Amino acid sequence: MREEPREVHSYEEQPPRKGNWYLLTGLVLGLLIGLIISLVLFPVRFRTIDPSKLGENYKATYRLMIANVYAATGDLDRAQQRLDLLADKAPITTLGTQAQRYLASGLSEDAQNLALFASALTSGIVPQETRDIPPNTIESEAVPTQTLPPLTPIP
Amino acid sequence: MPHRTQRLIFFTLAICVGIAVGLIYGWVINPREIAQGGPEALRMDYKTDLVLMVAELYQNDGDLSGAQARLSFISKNTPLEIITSALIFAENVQYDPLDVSTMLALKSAFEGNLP
Repeated sequence: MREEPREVHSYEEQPPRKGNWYLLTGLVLGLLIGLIISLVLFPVRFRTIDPSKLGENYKATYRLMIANVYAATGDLDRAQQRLDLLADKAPITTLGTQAQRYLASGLSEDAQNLALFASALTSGIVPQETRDIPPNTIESEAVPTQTLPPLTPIP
Repeated sequence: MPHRTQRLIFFTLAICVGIAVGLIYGWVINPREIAQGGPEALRMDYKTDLVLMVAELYQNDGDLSGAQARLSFISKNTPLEIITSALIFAENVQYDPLDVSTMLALKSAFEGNLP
């Protein structure tokens, strides 16, 4: 009987190369795990921040303090520099909106200071948010002051 | 070493390298800042300016309890601790003497109010 030749596999033979894509997969997988750990699960929490990174409620208190200090000192330049730190997209509008909110809550003095600060910014240095207005356009910033009670005269 | 084992080892090593890179990126290169943090997390120069604002308001209205409430917005420490830290920083970076004296006046007011 004739024996059919058998295929003999040598241990030294390597199976066909499948490429090194598994390394890239491992890298990407590890990167994802590392990012999730460092940015989500255990982020760096004790990093100091600037005022623009404050939560909205804190920014409102900060803004109010600036307006109150402006009302007390009249230093518009310094007040504007402080307001710029908050990096509000529309600082004057934000001041006006906050003033309206405070007025609705019965905080008339704070509302007054916020509105006056907004008015001073509008009539003083041209704020960032209005610099893109094309020429021959009336530059009027709607500051909601009409509904505010008149200022109490200082004795 | 069998090829399959070798691939497994390299795959595991690749994952470890990826994790290391991810951690370095998230903790060192571009750490996530506190987006909704409070004033406690503010850098010292911003805190000092806040103390100055409180001092300016106190100078205007003389309301010490109001000043205390405003200082509590900045930090959980006592008013004197907050003002002292601010004064140390202000002197180190050479704040305007007028601003320093404004903060000193607030500090004196709190010291005079101690039981």
